[in-house]
Amino acid sequence: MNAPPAVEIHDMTVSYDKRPVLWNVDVSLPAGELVGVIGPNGAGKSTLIKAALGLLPVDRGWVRFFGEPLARQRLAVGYVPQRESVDWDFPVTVGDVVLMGTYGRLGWFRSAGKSERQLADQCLADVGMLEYRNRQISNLSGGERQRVFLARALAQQSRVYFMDEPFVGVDAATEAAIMALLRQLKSRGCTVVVVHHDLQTAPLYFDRILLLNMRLVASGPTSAVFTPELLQRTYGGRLTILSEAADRVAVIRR
Amino acid sequence: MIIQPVTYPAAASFGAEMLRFWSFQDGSVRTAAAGMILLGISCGLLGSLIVLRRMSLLGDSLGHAVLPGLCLGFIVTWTKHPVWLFSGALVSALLAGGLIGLIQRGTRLKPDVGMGLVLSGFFGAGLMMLSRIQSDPRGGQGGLNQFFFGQAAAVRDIDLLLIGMVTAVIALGVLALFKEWAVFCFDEGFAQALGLPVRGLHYLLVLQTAMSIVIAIQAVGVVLLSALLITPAATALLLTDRLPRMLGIAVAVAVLGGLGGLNLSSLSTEVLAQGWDWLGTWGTPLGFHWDPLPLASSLPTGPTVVLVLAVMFLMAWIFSPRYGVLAGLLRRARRALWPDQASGGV
Repeated sequence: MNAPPAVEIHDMTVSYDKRPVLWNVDVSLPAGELVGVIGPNGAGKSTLIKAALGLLPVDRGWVRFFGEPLARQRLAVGYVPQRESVDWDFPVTVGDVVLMGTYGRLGWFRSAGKSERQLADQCLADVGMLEYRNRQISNLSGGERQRVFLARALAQQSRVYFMDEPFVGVDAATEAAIMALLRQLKSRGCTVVVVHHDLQTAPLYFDRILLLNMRLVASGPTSAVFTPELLQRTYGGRLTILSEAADRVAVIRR
Repeated sequence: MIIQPVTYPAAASFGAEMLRFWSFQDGSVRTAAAGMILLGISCGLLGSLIVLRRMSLLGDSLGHAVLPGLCLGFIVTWTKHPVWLFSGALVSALLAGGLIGLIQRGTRLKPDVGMGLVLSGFFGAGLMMLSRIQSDPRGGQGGLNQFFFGQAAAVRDIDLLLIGMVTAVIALGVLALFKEWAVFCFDEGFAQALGLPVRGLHYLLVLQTAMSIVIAIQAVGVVLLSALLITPAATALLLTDRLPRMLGIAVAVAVLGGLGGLNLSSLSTEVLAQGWDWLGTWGTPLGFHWDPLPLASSLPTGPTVVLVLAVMFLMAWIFSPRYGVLAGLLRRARRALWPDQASGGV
């Protein structure tokens, strides 16, 4: 018997102010893969993952995780929002932010105990930030902030992760650290869906790619989808991007 | 015109009146002080959440928007029946909160515009009703004037009971859901992804804010209500980087400010006039010319509390060890003098 896919999005349409930004998206993602969501600005990449997470109302269609609706698989789904989405002057320490990842399992009224703190420390150690535990978050660099968000997601102990542009504005060391972490998650059987901007690195990082421009242009294994023709259909006629991408494709094919 | 030196009855001494207040001998002082402490707890806790959620303006809007409901609640019995006043004000505040949300979602106007509109609209309606009530013989003696600037001394035991119950509900709501409020205020999207009902939490916060505002009216008045919510929280945010401590400090500041303001407003006109004179003699050598004017009444509670809170905020702004003006100057000076060490210490 076939196991249900980790993520299944069926015929989803999402609108902002009655103006559709995503049309009829149909995607099925198997477990244990790194998935890149690629497309131009305004293509609806963030919208896709927010709608999948239930953060935005959906006009039509549905999402299932392991064959069940989100409400029954809430704990199986982790989230790394964009860094700019929060106020970094908030009176909270790095350790407390990571601890928030455990709140989903804790449930109402219960407060974090020793095992939750140990888990949070472990997750901070996994991203190389344990010594920052008692720091207030406003003093962190962009890369450090991203690592904190990743550690918080790790503390969710989910099987599927959605990450909104984790590679934007981080230093090379953090980018490498994040990538190592994603591969580690994959080796544990997790599915990681990443909104990604950089066409140079996309084919190196991801097993599977979704090409998105308000509609799903293509979805499949990287080697099948990351082609000049499909990229051209996704990005239209933006030549510089396309030539860069073509170079990259040529490198991979070699 | 020459102002004759005024003589005061010997009984009115500053020390004696201070002692009398802080020993809480008088029943009315005890009641008013207990009310202030309870209000400090509810406003300190909720104000922290509101400031972190960037909803400060909402507190101000709801504070003004209670006036029409307050008037309606008064007309029911033509007395200051606490339950009717409370219900009327609460309905009014919730109606205003709903309307603000409706304007925000249903039009292209941004939230601050909606709040400004609702604040002025409701307050205007309230003023009209108030003037109508006061021209009525049954309403003229009702003492509704206090609702503008507050009169803590007018807090009765039955009001205190209501304030106590509402404060208990609010404290329970904030502390029992502490970790939920923390995620909700810090990262709403993540809170939603965790499965928290963020819409519900938002409305719960608005409801609790409305409740805290309604019980504070009697003591500090409609006009300056929001200061009791916002100023202690803002002061606390300058003094700490931890959320639990912020709530504690905000409560402490609100209680101290409330009692301090109550204390000042409890001083008799004679003692105030002595202080006024004393300021005059202190200022004269510095070149100020000071004409002491006879004071007609003691200080109104609401503005006095707000002023004390504002002074506390000012102190925190200047002297906060991390975020204060002085600390900033010190850091800059140190960096200028020893630039090589600047990168090491934060």
